[in-house]
Parts: sequence; structure tokens; C-alpha cells
Amino acid sequence: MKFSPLTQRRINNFKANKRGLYSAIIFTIIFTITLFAEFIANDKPILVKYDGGIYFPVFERIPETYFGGEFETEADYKDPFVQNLINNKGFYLMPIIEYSFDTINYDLKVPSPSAPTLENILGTDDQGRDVLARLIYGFRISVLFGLILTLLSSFIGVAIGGLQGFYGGRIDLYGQRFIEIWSGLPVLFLLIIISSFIEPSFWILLSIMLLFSWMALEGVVRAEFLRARNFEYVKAAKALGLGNIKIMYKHVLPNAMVATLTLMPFILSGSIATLTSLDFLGFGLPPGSPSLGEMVAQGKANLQAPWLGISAFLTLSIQLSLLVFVGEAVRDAFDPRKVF
Amino acid sequence: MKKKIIDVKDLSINFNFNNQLVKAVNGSSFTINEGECFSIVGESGSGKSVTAMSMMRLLKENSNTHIAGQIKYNNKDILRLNEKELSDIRGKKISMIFQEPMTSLNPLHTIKKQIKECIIDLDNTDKKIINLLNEVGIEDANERLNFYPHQLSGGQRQRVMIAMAIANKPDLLIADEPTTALDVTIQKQILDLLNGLRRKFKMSLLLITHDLSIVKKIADKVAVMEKGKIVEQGSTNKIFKSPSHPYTLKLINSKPTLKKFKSKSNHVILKTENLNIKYKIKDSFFNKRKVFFHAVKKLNLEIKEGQTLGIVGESGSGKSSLALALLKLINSDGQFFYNGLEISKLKERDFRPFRKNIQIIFQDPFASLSPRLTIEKIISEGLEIHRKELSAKDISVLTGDILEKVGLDKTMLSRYPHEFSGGQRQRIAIARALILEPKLIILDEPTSALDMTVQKQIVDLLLKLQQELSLTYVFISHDLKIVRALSDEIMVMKSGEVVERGAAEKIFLNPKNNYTKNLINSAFI
Repeated sequence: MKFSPLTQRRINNFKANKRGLYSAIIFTIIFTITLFAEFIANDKPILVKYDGGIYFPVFERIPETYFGGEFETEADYKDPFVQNLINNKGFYLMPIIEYSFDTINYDLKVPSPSAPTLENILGTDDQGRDVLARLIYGFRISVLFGLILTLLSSFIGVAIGGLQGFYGGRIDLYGQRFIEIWSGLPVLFLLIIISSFIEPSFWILLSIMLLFSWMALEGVVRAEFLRARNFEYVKAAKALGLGNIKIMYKHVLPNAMVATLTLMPFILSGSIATLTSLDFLGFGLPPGSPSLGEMVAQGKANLQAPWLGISAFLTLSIQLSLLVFVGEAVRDAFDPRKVF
Repeated sequence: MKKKIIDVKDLSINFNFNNQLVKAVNGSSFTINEGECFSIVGESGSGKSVTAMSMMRLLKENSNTHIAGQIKYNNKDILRLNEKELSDIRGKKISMIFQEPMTSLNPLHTIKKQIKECIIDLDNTDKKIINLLNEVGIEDANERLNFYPHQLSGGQRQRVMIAMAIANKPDLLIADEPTTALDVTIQKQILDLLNGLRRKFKMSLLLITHDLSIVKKIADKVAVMEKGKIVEQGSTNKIFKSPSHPYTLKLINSKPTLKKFKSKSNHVILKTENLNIKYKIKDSFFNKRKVFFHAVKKLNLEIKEGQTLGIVGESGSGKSSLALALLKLINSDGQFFYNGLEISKLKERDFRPFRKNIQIIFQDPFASLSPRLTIEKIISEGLEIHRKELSAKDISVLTGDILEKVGLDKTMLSRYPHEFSGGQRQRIAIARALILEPKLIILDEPTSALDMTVQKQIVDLLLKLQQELSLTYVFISHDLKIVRALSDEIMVMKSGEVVERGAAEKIFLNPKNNYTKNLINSAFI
């Protein structure tokens, strides 16, 4: 792939920031691993060979009766009875961690939360669920939430900011006044009120946060468009007869993308932190979902079980630090003063 | 034998630029005598300014900057003085004025405070400052003492800069392109002032410029610099009469050739009637009272096919506003007609088909090309709108052809604007306008950001294209020499109004209006 010299220089600048580069690599590895969480931490086997057939219980629901059991419900692979049935006519392969985020370990010898053992490497939480499994799923859901929120809010922010900046005048004036009022609304209270009469799902939470988070980028994009619409090459494009939308997309937007891409990693870590704090307060994702915030809350409620708080704290701080380091490297890459 | 003020020997300045050694100045030697005006001429990038900066030691020697040789001032080597000794020389014995009066004064302090900073002897400072301001020709100096820089015009600011520079009666005044950023009439005043002050205070003047007509007028000795080397030096008379180096010859001959062919067509291609352009400068949300700045007032003009209309005027005369209004890039009142059709009232959508007939070329070739697109994309952009029927292959053939027409090579198509020099970029901008086969091209100061020799090339190219393609030009400039070379008719503008118009030669030979006379006198010194 051939990049324009400007892009090439930015990539080189990014690579020159070693801390950011390694953070990006580590973050990508961790995120890719957690994307396949079902194959790493699950209470179902990855693969079952039974009676000559090969099955993938992660994807399909196989009733217990199929293996010769008694219930029509899905086979409980943690049940020694089912395990015996399968082993008689084949074998099965469990993931590294034999617990999903909602699997309760009924074989605990001590009351939950139980301390780390070989079975539950980071211990269990107060409902007997494996902490490591919940962290893996929680990491994934928080990054996905952050990414989707960042992409959507950047898109809206760039679109609105671009329109305001490019057309200026009345659109800009009323737009700015609207934003001033809109940004004055207390988001947290709004969320608390809304979550008191509907149970916020992933998408509802996302859309409520989206209503307010797009303003983060709107200002800088508007300023860039205001500046760039008077550039001579923009005027020249207009003199050539290009339409406004095309001019915005082709000539003005690339200028605004610098500010957008620079801010994006910070918006991402901000969104993750917001989701975590909502979960911590209990106004976030529905109960039972694997979330880092809920883990922190459990750590606070069970000070006698430090493995809860420490694991949640470390996961969060590593995750956010990595993102901030990546963000700094991106900022360096787009820094025009680093031209030479 | 006059006393030597400055003796420069084997001065070399190298910069380390991305691990590449750039020889900015390469072994120059020259001397400046007492009371003499010494001038360094050369194109941009020839190392003139760097030479001047090193004489004040304004360049810091570090791992990326290497300075060698010697600069002797009164038998002291400036390059080997320490900071304290330097501060005894800077501003007291040698002082400097810069090109850009807009940025060389601090906008947050009054001029009194800024001049006061330069004065060593602090008795009666107010009186001294007033004397200085009178000396540099600022009227009502008493009242202007407490002015901030933004309250002064460009020429007045340059005068304040000169006042600061001569405050301590220096032996040498370095003037780095002191008039380049100013209008022609003010250029002349500033030059006369500098020359007068030099005689009065018996100081030497080191004048750095690219404008040979200035050199010819006031310099005693000239050094011609090319790519960091002084290729020729000697007395002004000798250099201008019998230049020996080919580069000097090229510089001296870089006056544009005159337009020789005439268009016989009587067909009026563009006409305006009562064109007004206003800018809102004060607007109130509650009041209906609005304040306007009238950039162009009731303008009527007619351009015949194949001719060039030169529009001349100082900055702020409304020339560029007129260009933008004719392209409907800004709003205007009044009517204008293209080929007899009224286009002033058309909506943008309806006007778009006309756009390919009227094109514009801007002043700054560094700002008018998008840095993120390849040359091919920049040039072919217009084709994608106006000639949608073309295939990708046709487009690339057409762009290649047009690039050769403006004197560049086809192989450059995949490059980006930053890889080109100013002149080449201006050629690309011309190619972008030409590819739509326009009838009328508006040239908004197309040469003023370029070096003299490049200016000549661009003007020659424009003339050649006009003859080949029977183009009509509206040529906007403050540089009368180039306007004279290109134009059939001339319109002189002042504060939004036309003060004089007529056939080009008639106006240049026999100007009627005082303002026009003044302009022409200042331009051809």
C-alpha cells in the first residue's frame, strides 16, 4: 500500500514514540484475545467428539439427551454425569478457563468470595463467579462500548461541527446556542432518572451517552472548518464548480481529521471511564453483565477479599494507561511542528 | 581610503537538515565602508538573510547550525564575541530592520514603550522619542506616542522600526527586504527615508533585497548571491553596465517582455454594471443598525475577448474583492454579464455550468494547492465535474497534455505539491484552470509571491497561452511593471473606486490622475 508522504511521515512519527507504539501493540493483542473470550473462558467445551460426530458447543445448543442424559435442556458440561457420558463415546476439549462470566462455581470449599486457587486463578466474586473470566468479558464489553460510542459520537460531532463551520452565519449561531444549552444538561442525573424506570441495556445506555458525547469533537471540527473554508485551495475548488458537500469532504475534512484523530483515543478512554463509573454506581449495564465497574463495586463491598479490588483496579488502570499512551503517540504523529 | 566598518571573510553557514547538509552561505567575503550603501541581491533561498542574521549573531550555533569564517567589526570578530560583548554591539553599533512590519512590533505595547527600550541614555526620553519619530517622518509624533502598532499603517510601522534602529546612531543599519511587504508608493518613501538617514548620520547601510530597481537607485556597491555564493560584486554602475556573471545577467534581464499581439475582437466577454461589494463590519443582534465597509463602489467595466484588463491599486483598494465577486465567491450587488447573459442573479446551482468558463489563479501558490492531493488529482478535479463523460484514461491523457502545455513534465503527475518550487506550483495552478478550457481567467496577483526571474517566466507563459488559446485575462496586481507587460487596458483603483482607465500605453505615458502619476513614479524609479 502506498501512502501519501504526509501520511507516511505521520506513521513514522507514531512509530518513533516507542511507548505509544508498544502500548498500541499490547492493547491490540489484549483486545484481540478478549474478542475470542468465548473460546478462552467458557463453561462449554470448544470441541466435542461424540459417537463419531464433531460438535462445537460454543456455537450450538446440544441437549443433554443427545449424549444419553435425561434432561431436554442444554447439556451442563460441568456436571460429572454429563462428562462421563461424553467420555464413554468420545472426548471433549474445555477452554483454558472453564468458567464463563456467569458460571457459578458450586464446588467451592469456602464461602464466596473465595481466594485465588489453581481452579479460580484470581479467586471468585461474592456470587461464586470466576474473577478472571469476568475480567476478560468485562474488558471486551467496555472496549467495545467505548469504541462504538467514540466512532458514533465522532461521526455526529464531525458532521454537525463541519456543517456549522462551513456554512457559518445563522446555522452556526443557532447551533452554538443549542450546544451551550445542551451541554448544560446534567448527564449523570439524567441517566439515574432514566435507569430508574427502564432497565438500561447496552444499546440504550450507548444511545443516551451518545446524545451528549458528540459535543466533545464538535468545537474543534467547527473551528477547523471555519478556518479552512477561506483557504485558497477551497476557493479554487469552488471556482472549479465543486459542490459544497464535495468540497467539505475532499478539501476541508482532511484538515479537521487531524484534530479528530488526535482527540479520539482520549474520547475512547473517557467513554470507558464513564461506563465504569456508571457500573460502579449501579446505573450502568444490567445486573449480571460482566463489567469492570461492577467488579470495583464488589471490591469496595468486600474489603476482606482484596483480590476483587486489586484485579479490577489493575485491569482498569492498565487499560486506560495503554489508551492514553496510544493517544499521546497519535497526538505526536499529527503534530505539525514535528514536520522536520 | 574610507574606513572599513565591516569585513567579512570566508563566511560559511551550514545547516543540518534531516541529516542533509545545506550550505546556506558558502565562503562569502565582502567589506562595507563607512557611510556606504552595500546591497546584497539574490533570489529567495540564496542566503541573503542568513548572512545578515549572522552579522548580528542572531543565528545560534548548535549541533545543526555551523558557522565558520570571520565577520570583523572594528577589528573585533563578531563570531567570537561573548554574549555580553555582543549586547554592546547589537542595537548600538549595528541594528537591523526586518521585512514584515506587521509582526516585528509587539502588538501589546505602545510605540513609545518599544522605542524607549532601545535608548541607552535615559534622560529626556520623551523628547528623544519625539525627535526620532520626527526624524523618520511620522507626523503628529506627540499624539502618536501612545499608539499601539495596530493603529498605524504598514508604512508607519516600518518607520517606527527604523526609528528604533537608529535610536543609538549605529554605524551600520541592516535592512532585510525593508520594502517588500509595502505598497509601491510607500516603498519609495521608505527608501528615500533610509537613504536620507544614511547621509545624515553617516552610517553604512546593508540593504538586502531581490528588487534590482531599488539597488540601482540607492546602492553604492552590490554583491549578487546565488545558492549561498557571492558570484559577483562591485560598484553598482559596473554591475549594471557590464555584468560578467551569467546569473547577474539573468537577474538584470528578468524584466518581462511586452505583449506584442493584439486582439481584434470587439466582442464583450464580461461586463459589469454598478457593481457594489460591501462587508459587514458591525452587526448587532438587537439593533437593525449595521455598519458596512464598502470595498467596491459602483464599478462598471467591460472586457473584450482576447484582451487583458489590468487592474492596479494599492492594498485595500478592492481589487481582490472584485475578483472574488466576479466568480461569485462572495456576494455583491449590481449586475454582471458573461457573453451578454446576466450571471449575477443566478443561483449557485445554475451558475455552476458557467464556472468552467471563468477561472481564477491566486496569489500564493503555496496556499492554493491542497497539500494532500497529487498533482494529477488537483488538475483533474474540474474535469470530474464539468466533463463527466470522460473515462479515467482520457482524463489522465488530458492532464498530462495540459501539464506539458504549462511547461512541466508528465512524469510529475504522481507527486505532491510540496515537492515543487513556487514557480512550478503556479504553473500547476494555471494548468488546473486551463484544463476546463476557460474563456476568461482572473489572475489575482499571480506573480507577487515569486522571485523576479520566475515572475518573468510566468508572465511569458501567460502571454504564450493567451496567444495560443485566445484567452481573456483580468490581471490584478500592484506591480506596475508586470501590468504594463501584460495589459491592453488598465483600470486604476483607489478605495473601491476607479480613478482612471484607458489603453495601457496611454496611461503609462500620459497619466491624467494624480494618484496614477504617483503610482507610476514610484514604480519606475
